[in-house]
Amino acid sequence: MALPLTPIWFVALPLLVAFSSPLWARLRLLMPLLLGVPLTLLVLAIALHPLVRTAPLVETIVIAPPLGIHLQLDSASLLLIALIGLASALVAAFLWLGDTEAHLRGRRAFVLMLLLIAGCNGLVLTGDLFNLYVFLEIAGVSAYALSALRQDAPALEAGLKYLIIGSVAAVFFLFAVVLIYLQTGSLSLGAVASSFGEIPGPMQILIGLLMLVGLGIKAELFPFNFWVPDIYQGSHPAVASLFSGILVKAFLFVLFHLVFVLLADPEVIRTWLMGLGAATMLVAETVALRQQDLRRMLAYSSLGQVGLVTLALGFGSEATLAGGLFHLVNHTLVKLLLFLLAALMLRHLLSVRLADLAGLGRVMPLAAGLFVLGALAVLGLPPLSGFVSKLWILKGFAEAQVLWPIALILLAALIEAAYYFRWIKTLYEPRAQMQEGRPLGHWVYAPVVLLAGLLILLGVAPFLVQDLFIEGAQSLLARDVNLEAMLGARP
Amino acid sequence: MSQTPLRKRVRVQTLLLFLLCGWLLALQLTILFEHGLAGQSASVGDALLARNTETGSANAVTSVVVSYRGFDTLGEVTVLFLAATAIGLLFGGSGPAAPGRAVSESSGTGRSAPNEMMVTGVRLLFPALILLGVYVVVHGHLSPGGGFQGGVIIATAFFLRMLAEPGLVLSHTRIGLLESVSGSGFVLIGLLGLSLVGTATFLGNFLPHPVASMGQLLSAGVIPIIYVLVGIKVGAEVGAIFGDMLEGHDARSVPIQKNEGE
Repeated sequence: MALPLTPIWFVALPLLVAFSSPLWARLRLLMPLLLGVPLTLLVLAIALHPLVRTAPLVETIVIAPPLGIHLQLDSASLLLIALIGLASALVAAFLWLGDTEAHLRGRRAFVLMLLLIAGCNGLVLTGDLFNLYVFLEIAGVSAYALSALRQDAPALEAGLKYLIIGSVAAVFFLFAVVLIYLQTGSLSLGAVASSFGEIPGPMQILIGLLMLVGLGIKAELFPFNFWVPDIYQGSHPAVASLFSGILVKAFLFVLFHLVFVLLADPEVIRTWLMGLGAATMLVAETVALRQQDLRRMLAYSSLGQVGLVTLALGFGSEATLAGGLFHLVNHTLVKLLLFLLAALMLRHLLSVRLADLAGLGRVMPLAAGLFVLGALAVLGLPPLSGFVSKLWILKGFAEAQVLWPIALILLAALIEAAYYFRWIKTLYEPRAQMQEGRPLGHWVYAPVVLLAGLLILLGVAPFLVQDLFIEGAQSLLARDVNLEAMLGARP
Repeated sequence: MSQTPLRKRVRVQTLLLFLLCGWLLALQLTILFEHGLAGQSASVGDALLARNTETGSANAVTSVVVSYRGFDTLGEVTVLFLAATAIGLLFGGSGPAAPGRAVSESSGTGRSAPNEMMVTGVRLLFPALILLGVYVVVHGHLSPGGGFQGGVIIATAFFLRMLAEPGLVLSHTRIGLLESVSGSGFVLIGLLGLSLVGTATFLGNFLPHPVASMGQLLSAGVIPIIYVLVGIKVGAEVGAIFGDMLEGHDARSVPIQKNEGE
């Protein structure tokens, strides 16, 4: 009897620890476990890397793929799994060391965060459409509850809005799954993909549209993302960092995974996806110019970056895919940094409105300095990692001789620079008296400084991780290999 | 005639939205009727039905729900657990009472006392409901029903008692214990299936499940065990939801006490 290290652990371990939470609450182990579980998963992901490099790892559950459920771990999903582990471990460390509000350290928050991790991991790993829906619900319901955690008026409003819009998205997706089952008689991705081309044309379009709306709402793409800033503003910034950092990324990955697996020729909807991405990016960046609340500004900035990633992934060449995946990782790190800093500022000043932040650079020099660093990383200035990933994306477009995305990305970066520098300028404005808030311990800054260090490290030495992203892009594009692995799995 | 101009009385935007939605619906129905109802010749469902004997469960639906797609069931149980946690968070007494939450319900002193019919009826019904619930859970692999249905029946029995006896409060610690033991048990059985060489897959059926014993109470290997755990978990979650909502209702009906307590 031995415990094999298979992909199921990425779902089973957080579930098990969350279910047995009363025990951990009694033993006072909640915070160590909230940090320990994602770290364990991160280590496991790194340990599985050499295995995944050679061939995608397909784990069947009870019965082999065309009939049953399977989990698929390839280079691309491994990247996302590792990112989810890293990001949630950093947020957990922030909550633990930062002596944050009691409601974020209780048993319920512990359960909700672990199940959010389990849900995101399941979304990324699963190779079965109905199972995907189940994980979409798990990730969704835990996110609704997390956003209402503080239980004051804005938090409850955020939770209610998220609940309604999230349920609508889930219904769209479920309807698409029902139609697929009616047409192909199968739910397993491999079997669906091999017979998707035989579905009549109008039906294909209907299924595609329903999926695009459902996942577009969840992945915060342009016409469906009007609700996002309210949720990010109402939730605690640490929770918002999880939404922006891992939840949206998991849904984006699901969207593109489905596109690249189901469609034999993804170029059919290339223009649509690129158009959605470009619209998301430009609209969000423009609206961000006018925001007076730091959390809303970060929410719109996050939408803009999601649009950029969609634009890059939607183009679907190997170079832009690698760049898009790298930018996805970078954006998670940057938004974690900025939202966690917003949490610190909110605790110190009790407000993160533009007017109240004036002169913060004197009171919290480290926080203000790190904010500047994060802002520069979003803008893509060397030597920070955002520069490298944007460069990869631009190079990918230039190699393919497609120039309009390059112009749009540069324009968006210009708008970004305009509003980020407005906030930076306010932070360093001279101001006579500053209200004194609660003093913060030094350890609070440890996760944030670690994030900043990662940003610089990835910017200075991108060659350390370059292979990871190129392998990820190749495995997303290698449809035949994936289908073969899914259909030929051992029972 | 009123003074308001026509464009304010008839909301043009709403009207346009209605028309757009109606058009989309008509379009979708056209596609559905043209292509959707042909039906496929062979589906996964048929294939699973043909293989049903290998689980040793007389009820083919149960072998799909608990064994072949047991991973989905684990997920659904998790969603229910999440819903119960969220309701406990919002309705239960432990959260901070936000201003504005306490003000409601002019009726005053909470629930009125239950009448004699209710009390006597529930006293008669309670054992029968519990028995029925346990029967439905335990026979999940033999007859229609199972953990989800039976669990809800058991929770309903306790809900009726809560209505009939206002003093009765379900112990949060005990419910939490049931929830966590059954949920962890489900995952642990799955992991046991993964670790044993004979099955080597998550949720694999590692207990003997000969076809010969199909139809008996002790058959189908781990399926009845998992379904009992699901029954306990569903019963505990739904009971907790009822309890939290009743407590939340009571707490909000008596705003003064609540505010002093905080």
